[in-house]
Amino acid sequence: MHPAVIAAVAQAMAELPANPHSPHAAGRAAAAAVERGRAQVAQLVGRPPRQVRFTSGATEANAWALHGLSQAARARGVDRPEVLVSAVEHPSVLAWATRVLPVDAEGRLRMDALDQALDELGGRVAALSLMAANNETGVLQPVAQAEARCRAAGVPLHCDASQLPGRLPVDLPPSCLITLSAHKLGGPKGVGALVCAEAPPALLRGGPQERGSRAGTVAVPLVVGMGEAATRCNAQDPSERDALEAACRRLGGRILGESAPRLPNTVAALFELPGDLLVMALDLEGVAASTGAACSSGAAEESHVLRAMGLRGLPVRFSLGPDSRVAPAIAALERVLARARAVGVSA
Amino acid sequence: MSGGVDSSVAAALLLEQGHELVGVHMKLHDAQPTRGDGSDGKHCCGLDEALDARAVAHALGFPFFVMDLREAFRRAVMDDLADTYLSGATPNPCVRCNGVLKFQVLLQRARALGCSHLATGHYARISPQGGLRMAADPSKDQSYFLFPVGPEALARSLFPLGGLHKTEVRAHARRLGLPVADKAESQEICFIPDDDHARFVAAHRPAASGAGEIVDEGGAVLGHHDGYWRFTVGQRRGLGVSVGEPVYVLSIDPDSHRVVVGPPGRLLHHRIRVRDFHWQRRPAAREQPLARVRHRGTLLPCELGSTDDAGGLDLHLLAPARAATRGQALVLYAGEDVLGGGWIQEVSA
Repeated sequence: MHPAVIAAVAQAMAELPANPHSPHAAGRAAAAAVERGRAQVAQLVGRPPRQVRFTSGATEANAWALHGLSQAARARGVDRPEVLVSAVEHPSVLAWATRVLPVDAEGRLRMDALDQALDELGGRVAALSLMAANNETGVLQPVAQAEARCRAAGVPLHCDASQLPGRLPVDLPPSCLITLSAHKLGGPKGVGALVCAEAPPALLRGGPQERGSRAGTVAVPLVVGMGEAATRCNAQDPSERDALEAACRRLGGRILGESAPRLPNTVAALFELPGDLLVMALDLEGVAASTGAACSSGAAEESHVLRAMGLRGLPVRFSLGPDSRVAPAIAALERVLARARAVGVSA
Repeated sequence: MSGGVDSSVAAALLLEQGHELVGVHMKLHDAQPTRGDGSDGKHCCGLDEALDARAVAHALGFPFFVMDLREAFRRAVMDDLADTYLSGATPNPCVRCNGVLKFQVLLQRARALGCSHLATGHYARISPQGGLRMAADPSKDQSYFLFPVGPEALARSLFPLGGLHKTEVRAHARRLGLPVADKAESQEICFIPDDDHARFVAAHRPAASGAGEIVDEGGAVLGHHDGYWRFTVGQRRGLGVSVGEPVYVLSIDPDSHRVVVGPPGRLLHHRIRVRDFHWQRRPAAREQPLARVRHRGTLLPCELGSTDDAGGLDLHLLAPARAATRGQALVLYAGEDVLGGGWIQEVSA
């Protein structure tokens, strides 16, 4: 986290102890800080501040959007609302899916499958949820194309854009509902937002907060941190990513989604060796990488994203921050691969 | 690191000796473990055990990983268990797990991580000559389960508890502030927590059919069973036949599905043929080889035939073994040293 973000969070904790929904001066000071954070996040996504509704994170925002849009469809008289999602969505989106749409070998939503589903299910479709960029491969989804299809069919589009800010400019269709996660854009964990013109029916009920759309006291310091981080989101230079990718290829790795447009900060490479073992060895070399998916014990699991792309195995995924330098990671990867190959580890 | 007291103490002792450690918990299967403390550990992969192990590693201050080895375990241990029962024999999954999962697959991965040695909480020792040796505490000795671990693997292995008695291990655990709860000792096979191996075999190999007759040695039908893999040579309980005197399973024929029962006197075996015998070391001229046919079983003096090219070995026991069982391990000792071991293939009086 940027020191300015940490300082903003700490300052809010120290100086804004009141409930932002309280009628007194201290409450108003906290509320002003929340509104400032709201404006900063709105600026990031190019929407009016009133569209930004804070949540406990992306998981809640995804649940709110998809559960809420289903409820709204029911309220319109749809008997069994359908939630369409791509097969590579985050598990917190997949959890709400009634129909999972296939992706191509690069991991991008197949438009023919979307067209077919929209034709077949017609007015029963409550929402399409399509992520902006995949968290395991960095592959960008054809959101604009999908939005055109949805607009023509009168279907709301939800876009989990957690991976986008700080890597690429956030330029999403004005009609879509957007999920954001603060800690993915340089802010603290435990806060996120659902950005939308009209809030779906509430998921958390029992309080008038967030203009009556989401009950629960707003986490003032976290919102302040998210806002501060949002002002620091610049598009990332892909040159370090390119260097790391070239090294992975040279060392025998296969880059996932290689020919698709991708985030400038994510490298996912599949080697002939088990990715979880490589990640452990890299950790012991001081390099933090991951395989993409893990169970609650921390053991790596085969990812639904790779399966959807028709691949098997555990990749090694590197996520680069704005100041990451990949030369040490490349040197560590060379050592790790050489040692594992010398031992002759079987997959 | 299982999360239990033994591997935790082993790690702490190595750390005190100045070793640099990496902790690993093996995720081997999806069965839900029963826990010694009476609570159930119901989670995807023995989650509580993994978290216990992680907490110990964190408290002691070394890196820790959970390795998903389910695929290798299924192939080497679960498939073998089902297929051994289907062949009418009685498998020994702990030996398979040690021989393949721990001291091949895990050791290989440890080396890939840059580790020089694999250390476990087993109660066994490595002799100055580099061979496998019984633990100092005979009541905890696990050398029987480790016989397939060859000299190359032993040279890269450490058993920090091998020289200690269980009471000393517990004392170390208290001194180090480590949890001292034992794993459930009653649990015979970790991936079959209800101990119902017959149900596991039927579920793992659903195409298999095994119903048949229970007969006496003369072939007279005494009863019927729903799967011959339910039985183990030497078993008395649960046969469901009544002939006025106690009868035991004498043999199991996987082709006819027949289970032959008879009096206990017919379970005394002097001659055993072993397959896939691997020597740790050959006995010296004056050494009396001793055979063990079950974990911590009596050590039986024996005479050895020669090993053939395929690892077959004939033994003549000077005192009979009771219910030596096809599929179980036979381990040879000289004094405290393990000479080698193999799998029981045939037994006779």
